[in-house]
Amino acid sequence: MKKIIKTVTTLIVMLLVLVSVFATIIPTSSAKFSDIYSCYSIIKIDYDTDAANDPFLPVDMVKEIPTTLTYYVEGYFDEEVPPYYSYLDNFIYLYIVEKPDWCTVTVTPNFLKIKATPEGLTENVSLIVKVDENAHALSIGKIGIKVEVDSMGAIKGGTFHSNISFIPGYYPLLNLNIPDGTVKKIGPLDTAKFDIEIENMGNAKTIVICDVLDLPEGWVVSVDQETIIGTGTISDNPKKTVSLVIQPPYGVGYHNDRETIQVSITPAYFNDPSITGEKYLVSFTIQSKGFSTPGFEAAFAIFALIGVALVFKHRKNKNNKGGKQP
Amino acid sequence: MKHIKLLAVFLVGIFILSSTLPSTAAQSDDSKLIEKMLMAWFSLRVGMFGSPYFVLRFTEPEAFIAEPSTIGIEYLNQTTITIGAIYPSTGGYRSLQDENYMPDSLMVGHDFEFKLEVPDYVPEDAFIAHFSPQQLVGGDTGNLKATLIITSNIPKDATLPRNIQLRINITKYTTFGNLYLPEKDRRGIFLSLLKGNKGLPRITWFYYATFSGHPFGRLYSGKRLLEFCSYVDIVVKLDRFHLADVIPLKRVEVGPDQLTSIPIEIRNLGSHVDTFNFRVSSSKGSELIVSPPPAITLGPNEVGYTSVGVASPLTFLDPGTAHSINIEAYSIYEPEAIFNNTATVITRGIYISEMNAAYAAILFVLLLIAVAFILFRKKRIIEENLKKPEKPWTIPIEQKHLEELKKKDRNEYEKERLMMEDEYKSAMLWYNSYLQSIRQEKRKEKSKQLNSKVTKFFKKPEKKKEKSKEKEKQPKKEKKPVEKVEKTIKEEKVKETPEIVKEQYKTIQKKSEEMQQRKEKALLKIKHAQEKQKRKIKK
Repeated sequence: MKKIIKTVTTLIVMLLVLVSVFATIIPTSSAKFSDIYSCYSIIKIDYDTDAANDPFLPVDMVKEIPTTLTYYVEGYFDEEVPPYYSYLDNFIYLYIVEKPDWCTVTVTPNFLKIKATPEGLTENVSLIVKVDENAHALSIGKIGIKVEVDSMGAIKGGTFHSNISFIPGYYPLLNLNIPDGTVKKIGPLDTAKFDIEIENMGNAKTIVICDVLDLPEGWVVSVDQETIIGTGTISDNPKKTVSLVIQPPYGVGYHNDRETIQVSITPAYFNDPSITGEKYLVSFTIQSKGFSTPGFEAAFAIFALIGVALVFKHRKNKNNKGGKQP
Repeated sequence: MKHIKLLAVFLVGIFILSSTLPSTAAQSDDSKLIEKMLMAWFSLRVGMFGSPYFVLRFTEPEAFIAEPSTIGIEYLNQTTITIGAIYPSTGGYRSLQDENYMPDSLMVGHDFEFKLEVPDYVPEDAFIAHFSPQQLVGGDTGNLKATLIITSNIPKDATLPRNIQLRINITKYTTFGNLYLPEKDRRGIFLSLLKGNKGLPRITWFYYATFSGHPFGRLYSGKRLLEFCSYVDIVVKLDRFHLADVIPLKRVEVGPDQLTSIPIEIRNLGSHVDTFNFRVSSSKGSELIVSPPPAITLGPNEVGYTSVGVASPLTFLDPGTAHSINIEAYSIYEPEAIFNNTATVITRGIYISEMNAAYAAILFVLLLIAVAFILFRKKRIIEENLKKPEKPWTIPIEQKHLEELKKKDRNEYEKERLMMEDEYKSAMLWYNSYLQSIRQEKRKEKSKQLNSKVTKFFKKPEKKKEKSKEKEKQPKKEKKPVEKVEKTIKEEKVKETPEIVKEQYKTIQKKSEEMQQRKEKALLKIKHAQEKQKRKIKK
């Protein structure tokens, strides 16, 4: 009986020793053995490309890019291990790690709790993008997202990166300057020249379209209808001067014509002139005052002088002939 | 001894098994038995406190969201945002009575605090945040959500950056109880098992809470500690609003027919870079021609200068008229919002049209020419009818005679010369008096003609008829002898041949002219003689 008790006692002690040995020595000494249960977290990020690639107006608009995040686990025991953690959600953190200087991006929500499954579970997040006027129109903006997944027991965490691209729209903005003022007094045979300094403050190469509105009868206005101006967003020269030449009516006679001539200046996107901005209006007041001669008065005066000289000569000849008579 | 040998064999076997088991499991796919053994081992370890598969969490972060996540802010307005924790599955807000937030013996309290984090680039106090409620406590009624009211108090002269991002920090605090012992209902192996708790070896709790590498009992018992900190980012969109202050800088005074500019100051009080177009209109009835200033682009709080073009009316005499010009500025992005002001222009002065002046000058010259022509013509006619007397000493024969006389007799010469002078003077006197008499006669004739015209004009037509009748009734007066002679000649003309009559008529006319000239000369001589006599008598 004593032997049996001794044997049982020895077995129990040995069992305890074995358990403690397994519990302490094996996992630390052999990493491979513990990894056999490991399930690795995988994150997949998809976003609405249509929404992202639809150009949106800088400054005034805020774009929301719907993004889906799918979380699943992979591993040898990916079917068996995750159910042990089904009572827990894994923690997933989202960060914006890369973005252009000319935009503001946030992700909402920036923290998710998703259960680890081999099939995968999906959560929706939104990227909120706001672009300022320095964004070059229709260039591609890249947003880098970092997703960190916490480790949870045998389910290993990880860090994942994804890029989302979007397109800012065309933001037309001009700054006009007329250094010589908008009022001029000229003669009927003169022309009034106004220089319009145009600065493209928009975010793309721009065509500036000039149109004369309600041209008064008899007046002639000459202006470059289309002028191409670069943009500062790509270090191009954003300034150009457009000349407007106004010619008043010049019919023979006295003139005192005073008119206001209005010109509209419209910015349009260089690569697609159908995308235009608002109209900028510029008005000029011109007074044409004075006599307008036909232009051949000098020739007329010369002919008249010649005529007078001929008449005098003829008379002189006649007198001379008369004097000779007896 | 026998048992010791058996024990040694058993131990060696166990060691061999433990070292070969992982490779065996990796190599064989269909070894279900080994997998089952391994999973049995895993299931034993996963719940074991302290094992690498055991999950011990002291913090449970929550997913917070903000609704809306993008806000538009204007000057001095309020924006309300709801911040709360959601159930990912339903999207609804978590309840404060969720099991995670209910107090127990280990964690006796859970509470949440909210704070708005404003970036450094935003002016201080530009956004005033107020959370309602300011603190949420687990176990209370209601949801885990708070309302944030942001009042914008952006200084007028401040220029905000284009992109603003606000961050709301949500901090969860947990107040711990006695962590040295597990929960009351989980204390003891058998009691815990009986209560349905899965085999957690609670007997080791105290050991781990006190002596383990992470002695949580000693670290956290009885303390309120930060459990986690979440954040929610909000994109702030400064809502575009348009406001401008248009100030005419001075009152302008202009004369008629002048072009001038009225300087205008415009300040962009809106939120963004804005472009303003202008409209101008002058007061009703004013003949001012006004042109609006050109479009101007200004940044927030930027001041720009432009001008209104004015052409004053062509008023002949303007003692001083005030004209008001209404200046309207509007953003090209919102033409409906109009910002206006009034500028005043005073026109004063006299205007003489260059054209009228030119016409007047031409007319004056023409008039002068006409007058000169008439005078010249009159003079010519008079000269033709009546020749001006010549100075006798300028007549060549008389000149010669005087020279000879001068040589012969000086006294006679002097007398002769004086006589000539007297003769010339008397001739001139006669000439002038004759001219005057002619003019008087012409004036009389003209006055008579005028009188007859006036009387004819004022006479009644009946009287005229009567007069004419009377005239008819009256016997015809006898004609003068000349008329009679003419008549007889005319009668004779009929009788005689026309050629003879013509010749006779011409000779008669010549004779009468000669007679007339002789008469005039005789008269002149008589007058000269009379004047000589008069002078002699006087001497």
